[in-house]
Amino acid sequence: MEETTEVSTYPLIYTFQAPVRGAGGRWSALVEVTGRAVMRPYLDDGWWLSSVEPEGISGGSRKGAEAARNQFKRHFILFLREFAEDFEDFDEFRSELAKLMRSTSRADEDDWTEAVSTIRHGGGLSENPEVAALAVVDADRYRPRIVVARLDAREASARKRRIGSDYPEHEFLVGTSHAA
Amino acid sequence: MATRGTVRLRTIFRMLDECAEGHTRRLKQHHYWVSYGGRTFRTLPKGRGRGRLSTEIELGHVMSLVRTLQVDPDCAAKVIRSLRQYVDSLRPR
Repeated sequence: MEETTEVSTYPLIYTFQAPVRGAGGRWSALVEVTGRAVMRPYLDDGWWLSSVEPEGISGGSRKGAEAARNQFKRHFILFLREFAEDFEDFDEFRSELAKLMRSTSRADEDDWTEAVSTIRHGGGLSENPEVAALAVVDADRYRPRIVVARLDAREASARKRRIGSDYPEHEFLVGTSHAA
Repeated sequence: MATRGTVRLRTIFRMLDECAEGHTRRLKQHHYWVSYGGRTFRTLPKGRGRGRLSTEIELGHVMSLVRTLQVDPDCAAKVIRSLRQYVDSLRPR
């Protein structure tokens, strides 16, 4: 019989898309960010997510995994808007955001790598219905990345500003690896 | 008094003052960005208004803050007693 390992930490890959505006509304852009996050149990029935990159973004909830993921997404999008508001120059914003996405939380990256390994070796994804609903993908195929598209005034005003209005189909995936 | 699983913003700042000497806090529209030792934690909620100190913050944010900034966890747990269980879970078994 195959031995399974209980998983308590999950390696997630997130992709978020958000409209942002520069200082004083000088420019507008649509940002798409893909990165890694670790999802850990939190208090009794909750979950908490921490980003691997960029360092220093977190969010979670005591009301289940979906609520936790939504809170992480909310804080991430609000952070992106706060970050953009610091820049009068669009090119500088794009460059600094790319630099930030290269900053990695070492402790979270170690946990992420270990969690990928646990799942690869049969860790219990299926035992957790809150995670089993997410697609499992080869983590090696996903690299942290950002895509920034500048919007003209007409495009920017056409974008809904409500958080959650404008996202890719799969905001969260579970990472695993086929490597030996 | 804060409810279980939350910590007052004022207490978090006291912990930072005692355990992360030289840290900086930058108030943004929705969060405080806290920098210490070359690292920055960017999602400490500021609460309603201009960062009201009585705002209750979910303990998970504090755990992430301590972890990201590599604040001495024992010092943090002395100021925020509800962190003790989290800190004990970090010890090698």
